[in-house]
This record gives sequence, C-alpha cells and structure tokens, in this order.
Amino acid sequence: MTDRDADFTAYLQARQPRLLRTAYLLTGSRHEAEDLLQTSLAKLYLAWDRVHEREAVDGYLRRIMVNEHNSLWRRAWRRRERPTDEVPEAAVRDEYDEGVAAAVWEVVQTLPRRARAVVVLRYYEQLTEAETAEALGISVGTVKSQCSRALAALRERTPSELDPNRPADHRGTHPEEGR
Amino acid sequence: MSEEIFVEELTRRADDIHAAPLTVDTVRGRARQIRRRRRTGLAAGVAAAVAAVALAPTALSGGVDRAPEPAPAVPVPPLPDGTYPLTLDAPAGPAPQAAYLDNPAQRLITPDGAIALPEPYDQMLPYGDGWIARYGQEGAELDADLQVERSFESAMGFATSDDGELVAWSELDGDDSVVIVADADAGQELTRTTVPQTEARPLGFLPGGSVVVETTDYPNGGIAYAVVGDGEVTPVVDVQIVNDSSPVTGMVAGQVDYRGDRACSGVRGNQSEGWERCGWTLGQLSPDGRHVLAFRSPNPGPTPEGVAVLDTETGETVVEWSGATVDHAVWEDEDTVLATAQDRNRQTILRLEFDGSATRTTEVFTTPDMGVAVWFQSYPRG
Repeated sequence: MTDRDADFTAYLQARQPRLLRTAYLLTGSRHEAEDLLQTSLAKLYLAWDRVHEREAVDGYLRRIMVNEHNSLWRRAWRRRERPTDEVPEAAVRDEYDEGVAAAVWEVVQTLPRRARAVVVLRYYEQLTEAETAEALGISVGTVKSQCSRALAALRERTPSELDPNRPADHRGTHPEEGR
Repeated sequence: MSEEIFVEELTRRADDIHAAPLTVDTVRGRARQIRRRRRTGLAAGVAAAVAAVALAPTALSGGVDRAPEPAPAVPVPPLPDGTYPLTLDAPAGPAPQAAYLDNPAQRLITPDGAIALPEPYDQMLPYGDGWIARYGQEGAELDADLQVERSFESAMGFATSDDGELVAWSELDGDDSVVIVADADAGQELTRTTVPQTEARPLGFLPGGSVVVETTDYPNGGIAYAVVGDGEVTPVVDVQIVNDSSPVTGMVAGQVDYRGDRACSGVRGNQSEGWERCGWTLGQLSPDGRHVLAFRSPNPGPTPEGVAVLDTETGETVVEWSGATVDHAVWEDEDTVLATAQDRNRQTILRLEFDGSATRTTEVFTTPDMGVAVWFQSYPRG
C-alpha cells in the first residue's frame, strides 16, 4: 500500500461514520447517503495529494458532498451507479416521531437542497455562520436568512402545545380554551 | 422554537446511523469510474430530465440515445495514398462519449441526455453544482438550474485538465487578465494570477496545476505564450504557437518553426529538441500524452482537411484519414478520436480508431451558412 493509500485509509476509517451521518441528513435516505458519500470520497481520493497538503480535508469533502447532492445534472447518474454492497435501510427510531421530532425532520426534508445543506452544516456539524458560508460558497447573510426560514417553517408546522419554549402552563391547552 | 431543537433532532436522527460500509477498494472503484467519465468531458453525468428536455428521435440508431453495447467498428482498406476514408456516410455506431453543443437547437448533448440551454453558449464545463459557461467574451457561473449566479468578462476560452479536476479561465480586469485555476468539483478557486497588460486565454494544463495561456498584449495585439503557475508568469520560449499541453507528460504541442511559406510543428518538453513536421498543425495531445492530433495545412489557421494521429516521441504518422473537412477533433479516450466532419452544409461527429475505421456517432446536422452546427463542450471555440 502506498503512503497515499495508507493516509487515505486512515482518514476513511476515522471519519466515515461521521461523514455518513452528515450525508444521511443531506439526503434523508440511508442508501442515497452511502452513494453520495462513496462518490464524494472517490473525488477526494482523486484530489488527495492536493487537498491533503492543505489540511482542509473535512471542509473539502463537505463541499463536494453538498455540490454533488445539489447538482441536478448529476442525480440521474447517481441513480444508475449503485454501491458495491447493498445496505438495507436502517430502522430509524420512531418513538419520538410525533410532534416536534417529526416536524423538524419534515421541515429539513422539504427544504430546498441548498437551504437544507445550510441547516445540516450549521446545526448538525455545528459550524459557525462564517464557516457554513465558506463551506457552501455563499454569503453569511444567506446562511442567516436560510436558518431563519427553516425556523419559521418549523414554527408553522409544529403544534403550539409541543413547543418546548412555550410556558409550561400553556402546554396541552387548546388555543380556544385560553380565551 | 429555537435553534437547539434543530441541533437535538438532527443529532438524534444521525445517531441512528452507525455503519461504515465503504472500503478503500469500493472508493477506488468509484474513483476509476469518475476518471473515465471525466476524460469524456463530463464531470459526472447529465440527467436527461434536466430542464425538461425531451430528446428528439434521431434518424441514427444510437444517435444521442445511449447504445447498450458498442457496435464493432468495421476496418476498411486504406486509400491509394495510404490514408483512410473520412466520409459522412460512414456506418452508424454508438453515441459519442463526449459532450457536444448543438448550436442550431441551442442544447448540450451528453452521453446521458440533452439539456436545453438558456443561451447559445460557446463552451460550458461542470463547476461546483452547476457550470461555468462562456458566450463570446461573456463568462458566467451557472447554478444547477442554469441560472446565472455571476457574470464576468472573459478571454475566449476555458481549459480543463484531462482528469477533469481542474478548470481554468481568465477574467478581464481593465487592461489586465486574471487567470483563475479552480477545483471543478468543489466549485472553489485555488489560484488567481494577474497577467498584466494582456488578454490571457488558457489553452491547457501542465503537471502541478500550471496553465499554458495565450496572451494578446495591449495595445499592439502581439500574441505570445506563457505558463501561469505558483503566482508566476513564465514565457514559453521553444514553441511559437501553442496548440495544447499535457498535464501528464508536461509536453507542449504547437508550431515550433516557420520556413518560407510553411509552418512546422512539433512537441516540446522542458529541455528537449524534438522532431518537427512542416506543413502540419497540431491539435490535442492524447490523455496519456503518447499521441497528438495533426492536420495537414500549408499555413496555420485555415480549416484543415482530414486529421491524423502522430506519435509524440517520433512525430511519425500512426494513422491518417482524409476526404472531409474536420473543424476540430478531440480524444474520446487514449486510442479513439472524435472528429466533427463537414461536407458542404452537412456535419456529423465521426469516431476514428487506430485501425483506420470510422463510424458515425450522431445524426447528420445541417450547418448554418458559413458556420458549423456542433462542437465539443470542452473545446475553446470562439
């Protein structure tokens, strides 16, 4: 194994679980996530010497993943390129899939792809607004506005009695009953 | 509702994903697929459904639709002069594995389908989640939906590395040019180098991400060639007119001498004094750098008749075709050439193989007056 391959293998082993989770949040599908990650890692592999020197591997891969996922003209090809090993969809816990949890996931899944990437990088990857903007090649203002819109969408879709920020004595009370 | 809810719920969702199913071998396998496709001018592939374009049926089986299996090319005997026939009536074969622009229909045709274009772009290359495109000297970054995100004034041509990783273009800034090298997948600029008092046009890549550019100086209009890399601009001294460069071998192909009324061409490396062929102009170097396309021509410039493949080591002709006008030609892979062949107002794309065989890969297009109908996506036309 070459030094290059050894370095890449070490990176793959160390970062794959985390990267697969990010890909899953971007795509909403375990299968698509694995496919997206495989293609993105392959592109990283091809650019490894250049990118590795810059010590910005995670940032580069995030950007590739988002571009790959956003790009309309790449989607059909991705559908044809199947991963080597089929992995069954993971059984996602559903005990919280009512109320806020379901609303958050619904909001994320219905956001436009670029806005969804903003939410995933900002709230899951915990990047700052500036880091998110840099990763996606957009302005900080766009990051702020996309996050605000996502929050607004969540407020619209969440039953008010499930809002954890709502005062406790209002929870479970029908709006009409408070009058 | 606060941001913490997003943080908590996204983390909880993601925590259900534990596997690490990918191995270095599976990643390398995908990388090989990507590299093959990049060499055909596609970074990844193009959806037929993009922009809601329905492909028009073509008269040619395999036309723009993908052919499941390539039909075997039929070897033909050479003509008395030793060249092989280049005719628009060549037998039909599979669609070309290189993207091309269909100018009359204003669309980009790819191995995966067609995209209707909002503008009659001269050149467009994959960039980020969209494209970088050029119409004359107007450059633009397009998003995934082909909407213009940014426009700029550009010199007449973009260059892409053979592996598709890098793209280079120039932006005009007053009397200066800024040559930009960018990562095509990331859609991210890597270097910006100012070439003062010139209009610089990228022609091709060299190893390490350096770019060969053609410079037209102000105000005299004198043309010269330079290598742009690591923030420096270094003149090309051993080639008078550069046609292409190889990011694999570092060789530069072009006119190396001018004798009387004839241009002489050759391939040069950093310190080599190689062969020269007079009465020929050169085209693209093959992806592996072993061959170079060549056109018989008494002077550089006129549209050549036919096309040949030369050995870059010796300059010897490997194979030559004649009989139709070739506007330009590109490598489909290391040993297959795609050439736009024109006969009066008819034009098509032929696949040419080293055994001399030729197959027609598209329908026959009707060309506009004094013009051409199709050219390759990566070709710096204009």
